[in-house]
Amino acid sequence: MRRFLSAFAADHDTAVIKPSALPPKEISRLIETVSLSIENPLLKLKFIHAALDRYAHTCRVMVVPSLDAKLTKQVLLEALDLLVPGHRIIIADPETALAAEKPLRRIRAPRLSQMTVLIGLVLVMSTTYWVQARLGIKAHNAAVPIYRWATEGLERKSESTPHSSISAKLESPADWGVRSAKAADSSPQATYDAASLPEIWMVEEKSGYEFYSNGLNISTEFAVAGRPRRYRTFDRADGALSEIKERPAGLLYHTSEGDVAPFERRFNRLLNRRTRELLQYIKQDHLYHYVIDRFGRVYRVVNETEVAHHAGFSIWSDESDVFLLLNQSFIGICFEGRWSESLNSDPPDGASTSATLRVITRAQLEAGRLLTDWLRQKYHISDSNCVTHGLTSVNPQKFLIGHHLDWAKDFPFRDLGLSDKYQKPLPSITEFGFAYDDFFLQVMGRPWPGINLAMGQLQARADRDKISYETLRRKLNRRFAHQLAQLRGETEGDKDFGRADLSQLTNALDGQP
Amino acid sequence: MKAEKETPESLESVETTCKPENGLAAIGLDIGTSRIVCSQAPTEFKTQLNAFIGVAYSKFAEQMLQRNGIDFYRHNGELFVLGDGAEKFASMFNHEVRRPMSVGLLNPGERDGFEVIQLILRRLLKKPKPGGSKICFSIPSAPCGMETSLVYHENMIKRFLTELGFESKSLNEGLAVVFSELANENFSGIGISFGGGMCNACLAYLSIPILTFSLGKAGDWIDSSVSVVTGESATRVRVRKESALDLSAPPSHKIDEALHIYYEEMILDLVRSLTRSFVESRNLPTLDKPIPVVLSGGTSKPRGFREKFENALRATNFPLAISEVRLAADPLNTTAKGTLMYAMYDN
Repeated sequence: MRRFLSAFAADHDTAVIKPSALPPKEISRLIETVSLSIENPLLKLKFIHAALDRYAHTCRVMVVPSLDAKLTKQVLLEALDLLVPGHRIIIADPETALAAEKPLRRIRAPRLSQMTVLIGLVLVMSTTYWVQARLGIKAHNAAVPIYRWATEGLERKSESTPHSSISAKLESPADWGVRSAKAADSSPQATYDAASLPEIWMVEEKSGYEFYSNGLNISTEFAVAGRPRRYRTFDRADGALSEIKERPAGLLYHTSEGDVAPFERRFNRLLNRRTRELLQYIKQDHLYHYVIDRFGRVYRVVNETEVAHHAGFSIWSDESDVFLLLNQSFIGICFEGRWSESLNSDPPDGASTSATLRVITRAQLEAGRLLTDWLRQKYHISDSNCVTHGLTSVNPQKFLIGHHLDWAKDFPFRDLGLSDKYQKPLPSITEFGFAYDDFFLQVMGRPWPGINLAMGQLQARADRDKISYETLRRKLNRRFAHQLAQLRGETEGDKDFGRADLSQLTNALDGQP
Repeated sequence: MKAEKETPESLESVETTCKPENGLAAIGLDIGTSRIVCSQAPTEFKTQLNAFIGVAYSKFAEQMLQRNGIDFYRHNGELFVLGDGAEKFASMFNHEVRRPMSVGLLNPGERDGFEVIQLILRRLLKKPKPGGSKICFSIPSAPCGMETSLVYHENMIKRFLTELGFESKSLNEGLAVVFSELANENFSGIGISFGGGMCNACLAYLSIPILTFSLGKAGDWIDSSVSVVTGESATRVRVRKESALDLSAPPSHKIDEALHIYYEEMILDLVRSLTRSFVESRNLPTLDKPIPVVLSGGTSKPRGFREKFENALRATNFPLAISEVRLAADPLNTTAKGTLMYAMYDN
């Protein structure tokens, strides 16, 4: 037994470990989660000790009081590696992979049976050969929010009541209007139309990169061919299905929610390595069109005219069209970083650059602006369709917003020359009667202004139609299910339909009073 | 004092330890006040009573022991009957066995005690393979004020095992229970061993011992207390206790009645002390889910013991949430299994 138990071994009763010497809860929980999957008691014991030992060692080497969760994965990998010296072992966990594909997806708990099988296989097989890792950095990165949210009692309870109508929590429009105005006043950047910018053209294209006249440099090293876009939208006024479209209609911003090494010179190698692992993973699963790494380097992974699997069930609308399943219609731009870092920051006002810089670096912010400008100009993307994943992601079975929450606050809209979408009535509520629940409030603290505004609009509509708010909501929920069903044939290849049987939607609706 | 070379089984004659396919041979050893249990595989246990009885040497006594197949050896003009044979002999002649250990540690009042332990260990252990065999033996938590005695106890055993050619290390008895029984809970929970000389408890989180505790009141205390009030020998009380006691049913016998009383007293005392110890500890971690308690050891074997203990525990304001109280799968061998696991750890 190594460091952790060495004191114990030396003095069995007086030198038992103090809880303060144990890893933070988050790390302990992750160790527990992994070790629960190891059936052999001796291997399990060795793994736990190795993980604790690596934790203690890393803390000591890095002279930090406790290991940051960002390094947890590395600790665990090293711990597993100790069990089979000379072999690199990477956990192949479908749940974390799924979560990686869907950053900040709410997951109750890892599927232990799957983990058991896979980790068991890894442990056994790695004695004879290298295990080819399916996951890159993003997969395990996502594990942090998963277990954090899954185990801190924040998981959604099935019986939790949706906050679907105006309640005491709803501030008066006047209140948030004032704040909105203040936010607008403090905006460091003005919103602008990309068409008004000077023309942006490609200056140079060589093997591995493209250079543009606004200073944008795109690496194509990880580019991969995908499936062409083909999508339809719904007319916002009458719900009519549009013709098939192929041009990208909007930009959807994400964070990788992965382990990101501290942005310091001494972690330079680690920073680079993480980025490459992340890109490999994204490339493999066609997750985003663009990735902006911590140094502000822009990578194209999926061509913007093709489909990437970044949005899942998602809803957005502009002045004329309603978009469902934004994989088909929007370009996914992923900032390497952890939005969840900002969860304890200020309430969302959409303009806090300092909060943003807790999530991404200034270089990423600059690169994000250049990329946004170029894409908007190239595809004539309107400001109203530049939005974040957290604002669009929904749970279709429960008709809840905020299924994923990356950039659900603190996105630097104004720094990117965009209007603040946190102030815009949320289409998933106004168009389809979605709601939020206690879990959402626990995570977010309070709804952003656009939610309250949307609910206010819905209430006004219910009053006008002389029906209750709930009745209107159910009606709109049915409209959503109907429109989604209409799209099914159009999006045969979309992964999201594979994961959600539409009959579940019908059941969910039937279960409503 | 050195034993004469009249042991029925000399070290040279014992069979060689089996070596696992990979790594060194590993042996787990539970050196308890009442019994010594040796394990060389998770399901392979050998045990001997940690007791002896001495009778004055006579040809007749020697022949009688031989006829009854009782192991003995001649020592300074006495015939020492060791291990399980001692109990048989004591029962036959209504004698009390002598204990090499008391309250979990080497018995300072028994001058031949350690010698006897060595002999019992030699019977139980196979000869280590050239290249070494790893052995892990259990030690109790030191009762208050007896810390130095624990140091002596541990080092004496370690020295002896080293002399035999083993690479030895020790493990707290409570933690051994955790290692043995709480793998499914990631080695988080409370393991309690109810032995002969003492009760040992350990709260572990992710296999790390957070708090260990011992109470010098266990099976032997019950036996002697019952013996005093009933007039029966402690050995007979113990036999009765281990063979027929049912704590879930009303007592039907005078000895049973006394056993019920002292069992309850021991359980209450342990729960009270454990609670106090946990409450006063500054080392308690914040656990976000209830933890299990596992009971093991010979004293926990009577029917109804687990229920009695759980009732007592739940009746107190125990500072940690308990998910369940369960009996170890094989209470007599739990500690040995835990030590075996630890012995195998480095292989």
